[in-house]
Amino acid sequence: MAACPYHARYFNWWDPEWPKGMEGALNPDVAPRMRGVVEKCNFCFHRLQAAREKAAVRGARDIDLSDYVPACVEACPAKAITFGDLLDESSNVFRLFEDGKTFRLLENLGTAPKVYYRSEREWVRRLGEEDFAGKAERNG
Amino acid sequence: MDRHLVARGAQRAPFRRFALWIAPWAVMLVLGAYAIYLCLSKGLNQTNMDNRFAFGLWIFLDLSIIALGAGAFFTGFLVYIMKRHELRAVLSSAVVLGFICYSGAILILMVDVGQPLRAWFTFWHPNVHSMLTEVTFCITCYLTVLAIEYAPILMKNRKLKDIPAFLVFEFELHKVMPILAGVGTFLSFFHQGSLGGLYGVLQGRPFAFREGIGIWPTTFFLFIVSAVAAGPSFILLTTWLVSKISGKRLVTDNVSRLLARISGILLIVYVLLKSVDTLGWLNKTVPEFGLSGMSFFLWAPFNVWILFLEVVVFGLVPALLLLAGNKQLRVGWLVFSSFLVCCGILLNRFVMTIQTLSLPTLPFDKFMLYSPSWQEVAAFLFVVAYGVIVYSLSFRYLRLFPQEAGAIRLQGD
Amino acid sequence: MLPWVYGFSWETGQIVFLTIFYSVVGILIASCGLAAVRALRDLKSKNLDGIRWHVDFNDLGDFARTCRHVFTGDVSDRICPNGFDCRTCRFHREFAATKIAAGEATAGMAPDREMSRGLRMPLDRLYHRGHTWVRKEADGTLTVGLDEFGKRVLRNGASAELPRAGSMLTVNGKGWFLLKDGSRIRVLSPVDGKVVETGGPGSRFYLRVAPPDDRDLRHLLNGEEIRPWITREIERLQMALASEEVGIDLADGGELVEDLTMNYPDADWDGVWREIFLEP
Repeated sequence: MAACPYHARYFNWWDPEWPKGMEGALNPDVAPRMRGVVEKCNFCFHRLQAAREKAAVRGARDIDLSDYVPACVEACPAKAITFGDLLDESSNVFRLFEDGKTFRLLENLGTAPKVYYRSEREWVRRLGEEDFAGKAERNG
Repeated sequence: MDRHLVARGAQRAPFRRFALWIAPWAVMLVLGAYAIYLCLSKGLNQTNMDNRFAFGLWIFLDLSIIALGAGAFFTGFLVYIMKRHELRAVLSSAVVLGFICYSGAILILMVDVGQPLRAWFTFWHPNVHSMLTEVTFCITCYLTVLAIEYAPILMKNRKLKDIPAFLVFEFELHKVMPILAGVGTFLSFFHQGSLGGLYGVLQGRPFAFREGIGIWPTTFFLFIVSAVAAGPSFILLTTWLVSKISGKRLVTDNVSRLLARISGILLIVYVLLKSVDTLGWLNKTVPEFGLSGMSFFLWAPFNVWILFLEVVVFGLVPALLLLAGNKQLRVGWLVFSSFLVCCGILLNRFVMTIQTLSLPTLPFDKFMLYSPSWQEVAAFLFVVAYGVIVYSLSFRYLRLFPQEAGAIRLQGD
Repeated sequence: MLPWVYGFSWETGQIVFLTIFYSVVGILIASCGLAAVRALRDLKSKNLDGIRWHVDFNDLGDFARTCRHVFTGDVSDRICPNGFDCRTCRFHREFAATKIAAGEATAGMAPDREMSRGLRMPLDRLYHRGHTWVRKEADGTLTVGLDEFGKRVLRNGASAELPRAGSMLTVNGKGWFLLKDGSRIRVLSPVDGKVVETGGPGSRFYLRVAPPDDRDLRHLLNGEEIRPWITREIERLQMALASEEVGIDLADGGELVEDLTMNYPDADWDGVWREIFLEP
C-alpha cells in the first residue's frame, strides 16, 4: 500500500456490511473480502474467467473480446471508459492511443500504470507529471 | 523475600522497592494489552491509519527497535568471531536487549498485519522477490537465535543452576555459541538491509527510492551500517541508564570507551556513505525522474533542517565526539554522544517511514500528517513497558554484568 | 515453501532463498540438537562436578583466576586457562622444570615464614586455591582440612556436611559443604581419591583420603607461593567486603584481624564466601 503513489490500494478497515434485504443484490461471482485484506481494481477478473469458461465450452482457446469488459466500462452511460488490448492494432484502444492525446499519471516515475487518460488540453496532459515544486507553491 | 533468587554477591534493592518500580510499568502493560486486544478483536479500524497512511507509529517502532537491537548481534559478532573478549562485560545485557527488541517488534507486527491468523501464509507461500518476506523470515529466525542465546543466561540463575540438567545444557549450549553468533550475524545483515531495501525499491515514491547494486538499493547498505553503528551506542546508553537507576557500577570505563570507539568508527563511515548517497540521489536519481531534489524539502515541517539534523547534529557531531574525544572526554560525554546517535537512528527511521508517506505524489494530492490513535500509542507503550519489565527482572535475577561484583571495585573511582 | 505447496516454482530466486532458509534452520536445529545430545551424555557420565567447576571457573573474575606463576613473579600477568589444574598444564611443567634445574627448593625455610600476613599457614602441607590444605601422612593417605584463611573468613566456625566414608572425590569437585547462617558453602576438593575417614571442624582434619596409585599433587600450592597468594587473597577479600558506597577501606598491607564479624557486621557474607570459596 505504501508503495502505490496513486493511492489505489484499499485496505478493508471494517467488515463489509449491507442493508437488510439487499443480500439478493450481491454478485454471486465475487466474494466480498473480509476486514484486514488489501484490495485493488483487478479489471473484473471474474468476468475474464467467465469469458474463458464460455470459450472453453465453445472449444476455443481465446476468448471472444466482446465477452469481457469490466463492469465500470459497461455501466458508464457516457461511454467515457474504453477497455481493450493495446497490443492489438485493430482494437479501439489502440486507435485512441495513436492520436497523442493520451497520457498516464506519474509516467516520469516509471511505474508503468495500465490506465491511460485522455485530454484535448495540453496543460491537463502535463498534470500527469509529478511536480513537487509547483505543487508546493500552489498549496502555499 | 526473593533474596535466594538473586545472584550471590550481587546487591539488589529490597523486594518492596523493586515492586514499586515495576508497578507503573505493569499498569502501562495492562493498558497496552487492552489496546492490543481491541486492535485484534475489532480490527485495524482502531488505529488512525488510513489507505494513504498505511505505515504509522508501529512501523516506525518496528524499524527503530530492530535497528537498536542490532547491538545484540554485533556484540556477539565482536566477542565470538572477532574475539574482543573485553566486550563479554556487556554481552549478556546486549542479548537480553536484543531479545526484547525483536520479540517486541514481532509482537507489534502481529498486531499490525490485518489478518494475524493468516500470518503463517507468508512462510508457507513466500513471495521470494519481496523485501518484506525476507524480513519476516530473518527476524523470525533471528528471534529463535536470540531465544537460544538468552536460555543460557536464564539457566545460570542461582536456583536453576542447581538443577543438573540446566547446568549441563547451559554448558553445552555455550560451546555452540560461536555458531549461533555467526548465524545471527548473517541473518541480521540481511534483515537490517532488507528493511532499508523496502524503502529503496519504492519506485513510485521518489523521496525514498534509491538506485543501487544488483537487486539491492543503497538504503539496503545504509540501514545495515547505521544499525551496527547505533547498536554499540544503544548498549552504552542502556548500560549507563541501568547503572544510574540501580546505583551500581556495571562495567569498567575501558569497556564504555571501547563501545564508544566502535560506534564512532562505524558512524563516521555511515555519515560518509549517507552523504554520498544523499548527494547522488539529489543530483542524479531525482533529476532523472524530471524532478528537483530540493523540492521534497519544501513541505513544512519537513524542511531542510530535518536533513541537517539527521546527518550533522545526530551524525557527524556524535561521530567526532565519540572518535576524537574518546580518550580525553569523560564517559558522560560519550554517553551523551551515544544518546545523539540513538536519536539519529530514530529520526532516520522516522523520515523514511513518515516523511515518505506525508509527501504528496499525485498532482492533486495534499501534504498529509497523521497522528496515532490512543490504541496505537498504548500498543507502543506496551512494548516499552514489556521491555522495561523483562530487563528489570533479568537484571535482578540473572547476572547480566559479570564485572559488577569484584573486578570493578578493584579499579576504584 | 515445499515443491508441492501452492506458489512454489523451480526458479532461481526461490531455490536460492529457500536453500539459505533451510540451511539456517538446519544449522540451528543441528547446533541445539548437538548441545542437547551432549548434555544428555554429560548427565549420564557422572562428571557433573567437573562441568560445574568448569562453568564456575569461567564465571570467576580475572583477578581470582590469576595463574600461580604470577605469585612468584615468573610471569607478570597470566590468567589460568586450565581451571587451576596444573597437572595438565604445559606452561606449569616448563616452569617447574626450569626451577628444579636452577636448584630452587622450598625445604629448610625458617619457621617464621609460616606466618603469612597474620595467618598461620604451615609449610608442611600443600594448599588448594579453594582454601583447603593437603598433608601427606606416613601411611600414604592424605588428610585434608580448611586453611586458616578459610576459617577466619567463616567467623567462629561453621558446621560441616561431610561426604560418607567410601565416596570418591575429584580435584575441584565438591569436597564438602559448610553450613553457616543459612548459607550452604561448597568447599572444593583439593585431591582425587576415596574418603576413608571423616573428621570435622573440631577435629585435626576434615577428611582422610586414600589417593589413587598415580597420585599427582602438582596442582597444589606450596612453599614460596603461599605468602604472595595469601596477600592476593586478602585483597580479594577486601574487594568482596567493600560495600559499593564505601569502597575499599581495609588498609593495604595490614594483617587480617582475628574477628572480622566485628568490623563488618552488615557485609553480604554469603557473597563473600561465594567469592572466597570460588563459587560465583
